[in-house]
Amino acid sequence: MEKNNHRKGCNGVLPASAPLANPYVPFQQINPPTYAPGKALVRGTLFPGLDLPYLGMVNNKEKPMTPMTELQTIAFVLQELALYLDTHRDDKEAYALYCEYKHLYEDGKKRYEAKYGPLVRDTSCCCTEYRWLDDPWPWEYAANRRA
Amino acid sequence: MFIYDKKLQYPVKIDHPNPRLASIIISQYGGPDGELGASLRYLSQRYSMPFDELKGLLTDIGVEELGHLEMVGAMVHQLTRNLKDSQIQDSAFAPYFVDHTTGVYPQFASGTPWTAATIAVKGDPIADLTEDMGAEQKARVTYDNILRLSDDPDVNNVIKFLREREVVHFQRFGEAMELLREKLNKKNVYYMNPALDM
Repeated sequence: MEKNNHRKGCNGVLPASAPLANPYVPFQQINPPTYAPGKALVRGTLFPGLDLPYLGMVNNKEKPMTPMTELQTIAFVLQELALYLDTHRDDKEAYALYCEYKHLYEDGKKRYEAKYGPLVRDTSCCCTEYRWLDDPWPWEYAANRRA
Repeated sequence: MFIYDKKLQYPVKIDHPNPRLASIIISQYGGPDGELGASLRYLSQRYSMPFDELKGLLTDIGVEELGHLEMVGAMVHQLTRNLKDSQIQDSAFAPYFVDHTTGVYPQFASGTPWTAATIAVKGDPIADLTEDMGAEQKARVTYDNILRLSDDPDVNNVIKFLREREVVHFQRFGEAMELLREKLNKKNVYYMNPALDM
């Protein structure tokens, strides 16, 4: 089934009559097949049709679910849907899905911030003290320790 | 304006410091096809874009590239932590070390500082979107090349993610080009510059 979906998602749409001397990329069809969120994150795309790895090098192992990777996973689906919607603004299903994930993100963010402190300075009043400065910062190796 | 989100787009967890690899990966921080140039290219091209889809897409991809800049910086930082003297003296890393110690500086792998000469803002939407499609391809190849040069699974995990983002962005820029064309003169899309003449 996934194989068939993959084929379907691979085929884009070209205009019926295109002017010469222009670069053309087929339009991704609306309602394209999607990966589950955890797989989308490690593959770097939500869309199987766009998943075009180098020399077969793919990340097969999904990230262990921590409060942070859960947020990163949802945020990634949102990013992919946002770029898709930027060029497919009339796809109502994709927009509904975007809003669904946005609610999930807001819930997850609240839970994360209550435990680990604010993710954006806007929410630095989440807690009983000023925790915006708390280590680790995202680029540090230690940022991965929070289970 | 911009608001900082205190998380990476994708986890960066490099178990084994490797300054030799850091001196290659720095090219995607400040190299000719790196993430700094990508973000500045798209965020700067926005001003002369005539249609809302194009303004929005360049904003969204430009911001994502800033997130990638941070991820590449995180890789360089983690690859150069807790170095032994023998690692600092490695002939591949010593030239970087003498100038920047283990700070993260935007430069080519070959040592040239980041330069705006590697990006283009032409002020014509077709020319700029064509540049962007080329830029995504060049960044994709740079990540291909890093995958060939690196055998560190923690690094490659992140590089594969970043490489795939280039493929997705290429697709979106290609679609943006079609959205633009739909609004132009069907017989001759080069009839005028829509940034000036519409």
